[in-house]
Order: sequence, then structure tokens, then C-alpha cells
Amino acid sequence: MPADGTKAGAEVRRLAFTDGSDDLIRRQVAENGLSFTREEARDLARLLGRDPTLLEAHLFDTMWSEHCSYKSSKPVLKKYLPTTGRFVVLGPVEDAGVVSIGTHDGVEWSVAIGHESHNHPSQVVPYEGAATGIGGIVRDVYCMGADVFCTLDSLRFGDLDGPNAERCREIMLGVVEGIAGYGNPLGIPNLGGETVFHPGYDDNCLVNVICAGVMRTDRLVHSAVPAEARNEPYDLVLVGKGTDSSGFGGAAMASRILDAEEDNRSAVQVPDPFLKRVLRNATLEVLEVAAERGIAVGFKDLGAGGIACLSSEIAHSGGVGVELDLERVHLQETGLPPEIIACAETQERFGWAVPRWFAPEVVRIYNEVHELPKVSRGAAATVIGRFLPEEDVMRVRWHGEIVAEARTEDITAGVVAQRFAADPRERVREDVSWSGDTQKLRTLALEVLASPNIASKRELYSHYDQEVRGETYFRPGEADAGVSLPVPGAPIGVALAADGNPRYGELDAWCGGATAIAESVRNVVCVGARPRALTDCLNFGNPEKPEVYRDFVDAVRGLSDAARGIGTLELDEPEALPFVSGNVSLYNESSTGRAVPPSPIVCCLGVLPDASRATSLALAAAGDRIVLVGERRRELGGSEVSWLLGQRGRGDVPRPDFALERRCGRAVLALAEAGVTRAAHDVSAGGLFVTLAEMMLGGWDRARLGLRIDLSALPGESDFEKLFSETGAYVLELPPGDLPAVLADVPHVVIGEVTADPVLRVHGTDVLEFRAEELERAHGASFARRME
Amino acid sequence: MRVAVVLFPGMNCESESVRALESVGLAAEIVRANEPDRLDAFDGFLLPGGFSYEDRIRAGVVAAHLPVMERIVRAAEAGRPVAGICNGAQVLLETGLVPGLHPGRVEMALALNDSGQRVGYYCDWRWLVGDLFPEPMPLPFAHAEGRFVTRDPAVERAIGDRGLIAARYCEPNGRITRAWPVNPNGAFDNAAAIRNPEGNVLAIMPHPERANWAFQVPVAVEGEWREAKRSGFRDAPGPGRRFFTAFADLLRRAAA
Amino acid sequence: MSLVARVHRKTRDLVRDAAEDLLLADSAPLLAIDRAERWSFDVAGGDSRADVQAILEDTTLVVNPNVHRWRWEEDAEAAPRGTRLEIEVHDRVDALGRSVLRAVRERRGLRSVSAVAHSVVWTIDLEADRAAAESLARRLVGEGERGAGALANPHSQEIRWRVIA
Repeated sequence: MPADGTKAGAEVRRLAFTDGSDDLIRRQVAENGLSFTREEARDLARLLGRDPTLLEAHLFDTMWSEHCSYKSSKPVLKKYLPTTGRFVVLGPVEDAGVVSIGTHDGVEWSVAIGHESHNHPSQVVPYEGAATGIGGIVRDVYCMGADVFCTLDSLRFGDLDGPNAERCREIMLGVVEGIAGYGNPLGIPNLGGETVFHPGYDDNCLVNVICAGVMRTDRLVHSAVPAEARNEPYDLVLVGKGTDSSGFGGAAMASRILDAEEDNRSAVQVPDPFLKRVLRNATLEVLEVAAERGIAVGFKDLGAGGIACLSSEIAHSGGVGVELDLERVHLQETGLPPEIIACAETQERFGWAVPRWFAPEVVRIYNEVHELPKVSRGAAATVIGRFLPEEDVMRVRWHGEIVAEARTEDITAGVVAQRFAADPRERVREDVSWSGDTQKLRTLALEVLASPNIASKRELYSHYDQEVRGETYFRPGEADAGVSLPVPGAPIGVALAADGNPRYGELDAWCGGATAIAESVRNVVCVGARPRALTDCLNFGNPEKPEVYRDFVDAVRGLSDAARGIGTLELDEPEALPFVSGNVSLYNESSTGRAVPPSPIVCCLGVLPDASRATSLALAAAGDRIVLVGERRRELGGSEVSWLLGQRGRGDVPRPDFALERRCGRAVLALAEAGVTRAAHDVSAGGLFVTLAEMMLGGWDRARLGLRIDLSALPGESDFEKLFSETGAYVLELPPGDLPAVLADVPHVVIGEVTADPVLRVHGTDVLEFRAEELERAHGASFARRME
Repeated sequence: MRVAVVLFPGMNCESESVRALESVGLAAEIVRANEPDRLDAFDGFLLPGGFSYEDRIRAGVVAAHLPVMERIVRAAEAGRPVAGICNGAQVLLETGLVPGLHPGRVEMALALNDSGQRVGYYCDWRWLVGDLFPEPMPLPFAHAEGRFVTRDPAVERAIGDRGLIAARYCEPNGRITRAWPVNPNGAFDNAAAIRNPEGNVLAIMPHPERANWAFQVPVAVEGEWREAKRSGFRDAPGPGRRFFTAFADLLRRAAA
Repeated sequence: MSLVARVHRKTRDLVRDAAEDLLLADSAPLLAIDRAERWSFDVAGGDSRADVQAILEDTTLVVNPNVHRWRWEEDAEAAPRGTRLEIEVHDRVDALGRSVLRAVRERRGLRSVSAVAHSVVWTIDLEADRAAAESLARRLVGEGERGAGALANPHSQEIRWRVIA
């Protein structure tokens, strides 16, 4: 008997999917914690030409889940989203996309970027859910051969003042601690993101994570067995934490509607950022050795579907087969059956495809140089299998006996599910109305500034390390995008901004997608960076419901139209901004059928060839001019002010004019790169008033300068509309003197100037005055209280 | 002058620490804690920040009790400079090197932050002043356990009498006020950095390597940094540079 | 009245492992070492035991069922092998205790709980006599010269220990 106490030679268990009655199939699916529909179970038996083994059933169950196969979303994404472009090194085909950021000392550098969600686990166990969300996305980026230099999070929580306020607050605090508890020890700075509250997230929070890594472009490593494996023997080396049963069935969970939260707790994985740090050091060393000696390798992280999924995918991508000896896998706990060893989603693991002669060196670097087994008991690097140049199967052995065998093509091909879209949504045509006096308008303005969606999140970010690695140029809240200088010794800055407004999305899913792109591009342009690529995460409810599926398709169309319409600004010939990485999270719905509002969330990656040109949002010098670039329209639908006034649902949602966005973006970028712009901030949620107040507060809620603003030159019926309409635009601080010529080509209005006394004075039909302390209190202190 | 940046598993500020040391003309190398035989060749040692051994049991203690630290202790006793930043500082305290009134005895703790306003992990910027920073300088910090504390009044007195606090949290003008927000973690006497009586071992909680260049300083920090940040490329020195020039001076004096 | 729960990790406890490594490296005559988190609830009123049990089982404030198991302190524990040393370490700033108390009282409205304290209990079985166990205990909690303080730092923590022969 083997040492772990399991019996070799026992009968391999199979599930009667071929001839079993519907009832028997249902029972077998339920008893084994699978998620197959009856049809899928029968499809599997047909595909294999026999009853599946238990291991095969678990593997296909995961591979055919929504989470892995994108079975509802793939046709839509393929049809609409642009994915290629001048700067794309690798599109959304592997774990992360890769974008060129420029050349330094004759070497071309790239950023690998990934965007993932960990929504369901974070709702169930907020700390572990959010922490393993970070843990998963950083693996996606490391496995491209990059060194991770930052993360950002887009968080969506329920109403902090609603009927579920307590639970929502606990989830928020748990998620923040989880992000901190993983990112801080791993040594990855947090560069921002955004946090939005909406009652539609009361039962389903969203935790979307963006992660970027830096590498020499020529050091890109693919998640595939290299072509060399056809001519010389290649082995599969599993590195990292000892496999345990944690996360068994996790992908299936991510594709299910949340029932009782407790029932799902065991599927959540256990994070270990400390081990990951050591793994990262060892991995960078292996990559370095392989690159220097010209050894072709493949490298992939383990996520959903564990070892079985990794092996089949890395083999299939390389056009070879693979054979595993499952009993060689290093374990964290004894007595695990083969289907758990093969499919568990234990965190902190990677797989290497390396030449057989090189495998011992890889094992030595992990186990001896970096002492994996010593720093974390149970962790190790182990050769667990070999690649098969002549075959296209994955064969899994357990003490010699075959417990799974299928064509890698069949395992990885996935499935497509036909979904149907409902008719377009009916909209309320009533507009947002206002009839207060000046005093009331002033109070309303401060309320807007203090609302949880608008108020400063500095308190939240102070739980995250924002500066480890020493490359941070703009921290969260300091500018419209986070900026880092990740290339050693180079002035190249990388800017990242994440956006998505569920209040727009729930009224008009197309606008939700389109404004997210427009705003993220504007944010990146505000800091003076050239937008080069996009990532997206699409968070929706149950796609089997026609209303949800319609919103999903509309949102993707909005993303696509905006990416194509705005295009890559630095290129004179319009070329669509490419999506290089993405994720779809469906079934964000509670058992009562309450789905999250349509939530397309995007991130824009921009590049500053010289980061010293980067512009923050903080006012710089008294006497400077304030110029609004862009148009003003009455777009109060989904606005902060409409919610505060209890008129949620009324008004027109901001609809970006892509041609105008492109022209304005190019002009603002030219000014920043010429070193003219002193400060820049976009107009978005909350409207122009919030933009101006935030520029005055300078990111740290300490106003040292003030503003005198004249609304009379702006179009619009009332001060109310001018201050709170959320039409996207730029506000720039420019030095006194002639306006730069480049502005002649775009709509712009000089709306005021910077003053030495820290007071915000707004001259409209009446005069509104806000002292610095009032603004600081409203914007700075209101959210902090909720985190105590 | 060669400095070893001693890397215990879980520390994560080693690369930026090397770059900061190099910026003042020192040759710096990362040496893993499992290669103790390499250490003897170095003139000074820097223990960087991070989470050595995942802060298991408590921050810094596992590293402090490993045999490799005996080499650092012997080097310190021989007068070679040793600095610890953040987690490195925690290791030096748990080793008994700081304050080092009775070398080897644990005379202080870096306890959980408790400022009266905030408990636990906190990442932000504060101003520091002291003989390490004769002009007040803004520096970032990022720690959960950064509150210098001792239960022994004699130790506290001796630290004060012998001037072992090398930097204190202060207002931008240099005034030392005890209350939040100036003192971010509740450390006694606003201590942000403490050294041994011989002056060759120093533990500092804020991160000078994250303020070694002007580009690293937030726009909202008062002073000339915002202009310096825009003055071009990434070479303009930042407020933390002073720490590394002081460390380089220490090395030169020790070698002389 | 105080109700006390001890919480263990179901999964591998790496903190325990680290302590074991340190003790073995220090040549302690170690037979077994166990680490538990100790949660003490001061309560008053009729259903207080049920209230505390609900905190432990119906919330994840103290026990995360994914990683922890718990028992009442008075329930049986493993019999000692050799001489048993028990060390309890309590941070003077008990952030965990504070935040659980707040969550329980203010947010869940359980007014019957008046205090919550968190500490760590090390149970160490040694092949040693009482005197040797006592001297090891003093060393582990930071008394003495070089190498002391593996399990506690008296400057920030309150420490109680006893030898059970």
C-alpha cells in the first residue's frame, strides 16, 4: 500500500452517463458535487465514447462551467471586441495580455496585464475571497514571464445606508483587509481603482482586480509547451503549495447563483502571500537562467480545474499530449483521492514545461536555493509528468492505473450555450427637476461631495501599501490615474485607470459600457499618458434570463463602439483601442433572483514616454487659468444628484460623442506632453462641481489654493445643471497668457482662475462660496467614518 | 564600500533598497539569509522591509532567532554598520541590537500601532526630524507594528538621556507634537528611528528608500518636491536620500 | 461570567510550525507543541451561552469554518506527554478583541456581551523536569540574555505561564 494510505489497484470509478436514466444522472451529478445539466452529462459520455471516470467528470464539469468556457459570452465577445493593434504584443488568448510600452537603452519593454473577478467568493468569505482574488490575478501575470508591479481594484458594495447596511459594511471591511492582507506581504503596491456603492450589490458584491507586470518584450513566456518538445523530452514540473482539497469545485461555484452563503464556504481557497513572494523570487531566477541559456520553456499558473486543467491546456497549446503520475504530486494533506488531487484549486501553484535535462535544475532552484519546503511545509517543486510528442491526449495515472484519458482538444474546446436577448428596455422619459434656492443648492453641493460614491477613499487606500518597489509616481487619489515607473532606470511611466458606473448601466447598458471606456481613456489622458490598451470585466446576472443577456450584449456593444470610435489617440490613422485581457462574471444573482446592475468595468493602460510630464489633479499656482475642454449637455440620468434628490431613474444618461472624445483627448494629451498643463481632472460622477472641488483639495483633502469660477460662459439652463450634469469633459489648469493654439480645434471655455485664498467661489445666477474646511470635511471625513 | 541587503524569506523591499544604496555610491548586493558564509565579505548590512516569515508569532521574531543573525550580531559588535528599515527594524529590536543598552537583551518592542485614532496597519506620509534629518523631511511609512515601546522606565530614560532617538515624527515646520496626526502610531516620544549607544546600529520604521528620489514624493506634500518631481527624468534626489548619505558616512567612518 | 473558547486551525498552522522550528533549533526537549487562539467573552444574562455559541458558529468574526475549529475551553484537551508548559500571550493592545466586541455589541446588538479578549495559548509538552520547564518558559517569554523571547515580548504583551507536571 502506498504511504498515503490509499489503495492502488482499486476499481476506477465511473459514472453511468451513457445508459443511466435521467434520474440516475441527476443523482450522480448531485452526489458528486457536479454542475452538469443532463444534456451535458450525456454529451460527455458521447464525446468520450464511454462512461466518464469520476476524475474526467470533475475535469469536464470545470472546463464546461461558465467560468472556464465562457459558454454564454464567447460568441458576443468574439463578434464585437477589437483585440489587435500596433502596440499589442499578445492579445487576450493566454492568462494576460501584453502591450509594448517603449524602448529604453535599446531594449523594448512590455506590460503584461490581467483583469479578473472574484465576486462570489468575496461575498461568501470576504477576506479570503478578496485575498485569493489578488493571488489569482498576480499568477496570471507572473506566468507570462513578467514581474508584477501593481494592482488596482474595482469594488462594488451594497448600500451602506440601506436595509442590509451592516452586512454590506462587514463585506467591505473584509474585502479591504483581504486585498491588503495579500498585496502588502507580496510586495505589490496598490495604484487605485474605484469603489462604488449601489443597493443592487446588497446580495452580490463585486471584487474586480487588475494586475500589471513588467518585462523585456523578448522575455515573453507562453502558456504552452514549446515546439522543442517535439524533438527532445520535456517534463511537467509542478511548483508551489502542496495540493489540498481547498477550492475543490470552485469554478463551478463561480458559475452558480448564490444560495445560502454558508454552503459555499468550503469551495473558497486559502491564500498564502508569503509563499507566493518566495515563489516569485525563485520563478524570476528560473526565468533568468532559462533566458540567459536560451532554454525554451512553457509556464502557466494553476487556477480553476487545478492540475488537470493546467496539464491539458499547456499541452494542447503546444500541440502535444501529456501523461501525469498523480501519486507524485506533493500534498498538503494525506489520503486525497485522485479526482481531488487532479482538480482541486489549491492556491500558489504554477506548472513548468521544461526539457528533461533542465528539470532537476528547476527543482533545485525552488527546493534548495529558495528552500520552498522549509519556508512553507508541504510546498515544493516536483516533476509530475511528461509531455507526449506523438499523441494528443492527456492520460492521468494513479499508481500506474489510468484514471483519466481524453484528447486535449476535447478537454479544452469548451462548449457554447445559446442565449436569447429580450426586447430593448423601456425608459422613463421624465427629467430630473430642481427648484431650490441658492442656500439649498449650496447644501446639495456639499451633500454630493460627501456621498459615499464621491467622497475621498484615502482612508480605504491607507490600508494598502501604495509604494513598495519604490516606483510609484502617483498614488490612488493623487491624479486621475495611478502612475508607476516600472522599467529600471527608465523615465517611462505606466498609467492605469479603472472605471464603470452601475447607475448608468442599469438605465442603459450600452451607455454603461461606452461611458466606462470614455472615462477610463479620459483619466489616462488627464495624467498625460497615451492610452494604449483596454481590459474589461463584465459582471452580470443570470444570462439565461433574456433581460440580463440583452443588457450583456448591449454593454459589450457599448464597449466596442467606444473603443473603435475613440481609438488609439497617439496614432493619426484611427485604430481601435484593443482589448488585451478580460473576464466575464455571470450569475451575480441572489437566490431571490436579484441580479447586480449591468456592470461592465474597464481599465485603460496608458504610457508616458517621459513621466516627469505627468500631471496630477492638484492645483499648482495662483493666477493660473481654469479651462473646460469638451461639451456640456443636460445629462443627469444616473447622476449622483438624481439619487440624492430621490429621482433615481429620471433623466438622460451621459452618451459619449466618440469623435469629440477623440479630438479632445488628442488636444489634452498634446498639452500635457508639451509640459504646459499644470493640473488636469475629468468631469464624471458628481459633475463639474466635484471636479473643481477635488482639484482644490489636491488628493489629500487639504486645500492650499482656491478657485474663482464663472458659470455664465457655459451652456445650460441653470446653475444646478451646470454644476451637476455628468457629461464627460476635461478641466485643465493652464498658465496665464495666450491659450495654446491646439485648443482652437476643440470646444473649450475659460471658466475661471486659481486664487491664493483657499475658497471655492462659483459665480452663476447667484454666488456660491465654499470655505476649504467645508470641502475638506465633506469630501475627506465623510467616508473615513464608515471605515471605523 | 560593500553593503549586503540581507533577505529573509518574506521581505519585499530588497530591490529598491539596493537601488537607494547605489544612489549614494555604495556597492549593494542582495544576500539571502540561507547563504550566511557570504556575509563576512561586506562592510555593512541593511535589513530591508517586508514580512519576514510572514510575521509568524510576531513581526521580526523568527528571523531574529535564526543562526544567521549571530553573524550580524558579531559584525555589529565589531563596529560594522547595520541598519534595519521597517521589518528590518523589527528584526533588530527582537535580536536585542536596538536599543542595545545591554546587547542581546530584548529591551523594547515594536508594538501594534495605536495612535488613539487608528489601530493596526497604516500607509501614509509623515514629517521626521532629528539628527538623522536635521531639516524636517517627509517620509512614507507602511506598517502595522511600528510603535516603539518599552515597559522598562530605565530603558526609556536611557534612550532619552543618551540621545538614541535618531528621528521623531513632527509637523512640517519641525515642531514635535505628541498627538495624532503627527504621531501616526503612538510611539513613545514620537520615536521613528532608534540607534544603539555606539551609533552603528539603527532601526527606522518609515521607508527612506521610497523617498530617495523626488519622483516618489506625493504632489500634496508641501515644499519644493512637486517642482523637483517635474524637473525631469528620475534622478532628482528626494527627502529620504539623507538617510542613505548618513549610512554611507557611517560606513566610511567605520572603515577608517 | 466568562465563557472561553479555544480556536484551532483545521489546516496546517504555519505559526505553530515556526515556533516548533525555533524551539528545536534552540535544543528544547520538545515532545509536542500546540497553538490555540483563546477567546474570552464576559457575559451576563440567561441565554448568554447560546449568544456566544452563535457568535462562534453563525458569524465569521472569530471562527471561519473554512479554516478553524473550536471548542469550549473547559472541554477535554489532549493528555500531557511529559511535563506540560502552558503559556498565554495577550497583546496589550487587543485589536482583535476590541473589533469583535464592537461588531457583536454595536452591529449585532448583543448587549449581553460586555468584554471580549483575545490571546494565544501555547501548550508545550517537554521531556524535562519542572525546573527545566520553568527555565525554558522564562526564556521563551523574553527573560534573560541573547536568544530569549521566541514566543512573547514582555514590552508589548502580557504573559501568563504555568507548568503542569
